[in-house]
Amino acid sequence: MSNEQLNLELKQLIIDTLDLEDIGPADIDSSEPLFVDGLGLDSIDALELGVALQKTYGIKLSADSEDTQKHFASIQALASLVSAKCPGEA
Amino acid sequence: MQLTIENWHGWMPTIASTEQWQRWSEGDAVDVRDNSLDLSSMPPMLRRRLSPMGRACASVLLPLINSDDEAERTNTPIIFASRHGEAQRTQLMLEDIAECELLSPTAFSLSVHNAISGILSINKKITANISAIAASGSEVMAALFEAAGLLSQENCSKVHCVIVDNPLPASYQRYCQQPQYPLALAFSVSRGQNGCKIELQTAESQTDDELQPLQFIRLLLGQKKCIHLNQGRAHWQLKRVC
Repeated sequence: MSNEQLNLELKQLIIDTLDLEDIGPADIDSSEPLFVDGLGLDSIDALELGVALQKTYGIKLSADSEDTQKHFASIQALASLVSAKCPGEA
Repeated sequence: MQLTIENWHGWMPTIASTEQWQRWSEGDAVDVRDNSLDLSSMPPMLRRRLSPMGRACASVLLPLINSDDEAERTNTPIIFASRHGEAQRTQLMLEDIAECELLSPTAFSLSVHNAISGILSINKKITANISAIAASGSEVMAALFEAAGLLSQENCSKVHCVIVDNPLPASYQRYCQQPQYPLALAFSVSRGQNGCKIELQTAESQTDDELQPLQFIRLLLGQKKCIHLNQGRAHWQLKRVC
């Protein structure tokens, strides 16, 4: 899967998992922050996204690790995480 | 005991305005297929957290809150009453547990009884006292009692109440079929002079199968001058005195 495809897949995962009404993949900038300033996700969304990553890609993240914050920074950061943990996806 | 209902809004599918409720009270059929509610005034990032029941709740409660001035908005307590609460969310989580699936943190946090009132308080920046109660079908009486208690305090002149319920998921239907339609009712209670004054007295037991919020709407519309509501083993007569 190309980077582009993985980015699109992750955007769709976020939209579906977090019930983002009226938002399409094109509305999410891959380099923009997902939380607070950019897309405006909150702490409940972070937990929900963690569960979705585990269900979809089998990736387990620790809630209090600083690395987790980095992985959740943007779509690009999430894509790097998925590519690293699941080479088959990228 | 006398209480004043200053204002109210009710919602069932296709019934929202006083004229529509009037027609309902005269026996017009309810078309449950149309479930649409317009909540475009609420930010989408907050609105997405509301279930259909939460949306029904918002559609009746927000007009009452919106007509409050800023001081009232800060000081007016809200009583949220629902018999079954977010049973649908709980049911889906129980299914996930049965299938050894991971639980959704969002579903968990939104399944609690005060989740809807929490979201609405964030939306309207309400810092007043909010309670969430369940009363086994006696939600109108329970809310009126809670309101009367709050109104007996010197610094409280008005209380908003909201009663809301949805039909139960199919697997619970054999235990309770009520309500058959989604239903939400919000009303403001005070000890003031403006509004519909209601006298509450203890009474002999009388059975009326109609849901308490629907009976209460008939009283507020003036279609009935007097209704009987049970609360556990206590029986009450509510009479219009205006």
